[in-house]
Amino acid sequence: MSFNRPFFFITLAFIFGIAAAALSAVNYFIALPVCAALITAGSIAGFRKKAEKTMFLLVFFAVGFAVSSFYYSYNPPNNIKTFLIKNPELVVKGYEAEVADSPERGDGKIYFNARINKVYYSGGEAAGLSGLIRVTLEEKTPFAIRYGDTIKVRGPLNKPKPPKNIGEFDYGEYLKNKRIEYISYVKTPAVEVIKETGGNIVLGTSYAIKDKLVSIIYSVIPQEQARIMDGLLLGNQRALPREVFEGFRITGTAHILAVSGMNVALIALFIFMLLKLARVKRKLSALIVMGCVFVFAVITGAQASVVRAAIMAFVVLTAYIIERKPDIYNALAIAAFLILFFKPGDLFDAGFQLSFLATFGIVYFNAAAQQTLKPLPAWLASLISTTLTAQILLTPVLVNIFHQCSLISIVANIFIVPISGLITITGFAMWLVGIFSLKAAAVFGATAWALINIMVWISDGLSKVPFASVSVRTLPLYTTMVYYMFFLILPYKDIEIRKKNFSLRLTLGGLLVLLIMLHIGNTSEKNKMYAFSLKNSGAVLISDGEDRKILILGKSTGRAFYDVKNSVAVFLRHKGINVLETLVLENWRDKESIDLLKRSFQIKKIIADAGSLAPKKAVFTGERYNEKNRGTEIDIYESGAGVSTNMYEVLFSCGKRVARKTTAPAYYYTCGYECEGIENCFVNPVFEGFSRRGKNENGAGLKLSTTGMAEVDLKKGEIKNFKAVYAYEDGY
Amino acid sequence: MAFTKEEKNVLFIIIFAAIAGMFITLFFSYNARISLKQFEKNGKININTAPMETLDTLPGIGETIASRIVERREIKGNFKSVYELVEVKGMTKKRFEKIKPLLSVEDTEK
Repeated sequence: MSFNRPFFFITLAFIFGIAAAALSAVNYFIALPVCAALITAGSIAGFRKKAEKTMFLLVFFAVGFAVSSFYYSYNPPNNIKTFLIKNPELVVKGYEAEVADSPERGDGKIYFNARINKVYYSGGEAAGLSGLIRVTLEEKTPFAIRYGDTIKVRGPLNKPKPPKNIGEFDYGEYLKNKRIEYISYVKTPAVEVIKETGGNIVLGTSYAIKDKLVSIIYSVIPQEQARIMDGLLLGNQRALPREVFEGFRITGTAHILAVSGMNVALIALFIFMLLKLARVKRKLSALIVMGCVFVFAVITGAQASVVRAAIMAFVVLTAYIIERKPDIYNALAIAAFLILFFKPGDLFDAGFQLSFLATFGIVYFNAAAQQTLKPLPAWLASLISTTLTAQILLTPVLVNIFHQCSLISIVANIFIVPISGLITITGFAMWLVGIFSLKAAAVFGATAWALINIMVWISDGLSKVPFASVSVRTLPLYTTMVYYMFFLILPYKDIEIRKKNFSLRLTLGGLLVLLIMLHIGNTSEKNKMYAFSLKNSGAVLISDGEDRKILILGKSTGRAFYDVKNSVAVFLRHKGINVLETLVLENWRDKESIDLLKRSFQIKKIIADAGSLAPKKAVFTGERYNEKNRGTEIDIYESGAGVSTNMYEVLFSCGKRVARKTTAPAYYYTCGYECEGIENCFVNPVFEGFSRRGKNENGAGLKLSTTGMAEVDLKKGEIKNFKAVYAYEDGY
Repeated sequence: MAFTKEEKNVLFIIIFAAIAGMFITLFFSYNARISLKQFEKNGKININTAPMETLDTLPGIGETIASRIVERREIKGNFKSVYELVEVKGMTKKRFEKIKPLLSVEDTEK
């Protein structure tokens, strides 16, 4: 096997350097001189032809290390972070900032990054500052906010809060990789635009084009489907309805919502075709296509996936212009190098990893896959090959980041990817015609509308297949390494080592199967309780003595959906839980969150009190209200003093009811649990953070109070991760 | 002018999309769906409370006119009648007649 692509290995060395710097968190003061010395030594050794390959790689490792340490640790003196660290006593009351990108809309909010230039605090202001912040506005802001506008905001700057529950997305870390340290959540009256249309003229023009394209979509397609089109063509995932996005996620087709190679290839093809019709010369066409691809990358938010595709397109088109044969591996390496040189933090971005791994997988395994699928029709073989080869290298990353694996992905992609391609081309035609006539564009809008409905119907149907997506715990590092080693040597027979009938492929393959089986089989957790720390509701997961999982959701207020989506469901996946024995709902009013859980997990039984079934805000349909319906999908209990106690007695195999003197519902769990010398104590984990309490005959009680997720060993009575546990004597 | 196989496929898809789109427009009342679907759920648009992003979705009304409507509201106060919209710069009679059935000066939520 020959793989003579020096730039590919240079880029790998560069990437290792970035990773080493980010993980070691070395300050640039130290890193830069050390790297400079390494680079000098490496260059001299290289010129003297002493192990020049190794030294060359070491030079680029050092370059990556230096770039990364500089990126993460250098802040100019006027940076907002430096300013606030130097003045810890200051309380920011407001600020002025310039909108740094095209605002995204979705979920009732507007999101954008802004370049801060002034802050206001009690008794003064500080101008001439720099640095990016992340701003979230309410969508009902009655004026437009555009790229380049300068806004004045009354409100604080905050640090993103660290995750409180296991498995939760670390928003602060995500923003830190983009060099954003502060966020601002603003209600409408507190913001005004004080200056319009600043910023870079190229970006400004690109965003103005984007606004026009968005308005065409929403003018010629009904809103529900227009939101999906907005996501498909322009990568605005926030515009998508939640259940649609969940359908794509479960079926492993969410990648179509990330603007990437397929979109860039189609737009290039579309424009090439138009220019050919206009009889434009081919090399000039290639230059025009490069310009259009650049604009497309900007208007879709310049995410790693589309920038990767755009740079690779530039390389291929440049090769076309200078009449050379392009090399895909080198094109991929150039894209990675350029992106990471300017934004080393993108190495840890899920989008970057998924995009590059998928592309590398497709290129690396394509020949072998096509050979294997030869008996099938060419179009089907190509479709299956692309899906399969992309998934091979993606699977460990998807498992480790999202803790899920879609078992239905290949089948779903066979149907959904071609339809999304048709929608994309139809969308381009709609845009082109829409510049001149919205009425004519509506013809293409109609086709797009029909195709979108078909695609969503397929995705929705497939997502309801039992075990369409399964939760998988994070793979250990050694399993991940064996996985990649096995698949990387798989296509190449000549890497096989044959010594006394020892086959590397078979050995690695067998080892991989064994490790995966051990990993999947080892999810047992008996006698554990996890009390979530949530903003708008309460939740507890109990794993009883027989490893049966019971999830209790209580007291939802308003935005409980996000608690379930971002904390509860994520935790369940993180733990590799696919089946819930029982789901208990106490006064739970959020239907969407229950739909989410039912789609993502197998739930054997649901118990709901009447508070969860009240008309108008019913979680389930009205006919179930006030009916005892044991044995079917839902068991319902009447509301009242006994309901919660009944439910808990049913659930807890070792639960013991504690006598109480109040008539209001109280929630107990005792299992020989010692509470610092207080006997018969009980906890109220579902309502941690709320004020509901109870007391026993002795007048003493205990409330489990935490600032993060509490983990309780039910057998030993030990609690981890709690901050304050106190006794009290008052009742409700 | 020789198209590649991929370019021919794209051309075929565009022609198919145009024909299919005409069929859908004729037989599925598509134009009515665009104008009314987004408003069907919420009744008429209240021009005194609708944010710019909602006004923007009215047929024939872009961001510029939508922001002028909001501006007129902020400067002169609430509209007493939908007919006062013609005072907004860029609101032609033709444009106004098209959106008049969708407008209100009070909440008409279903």
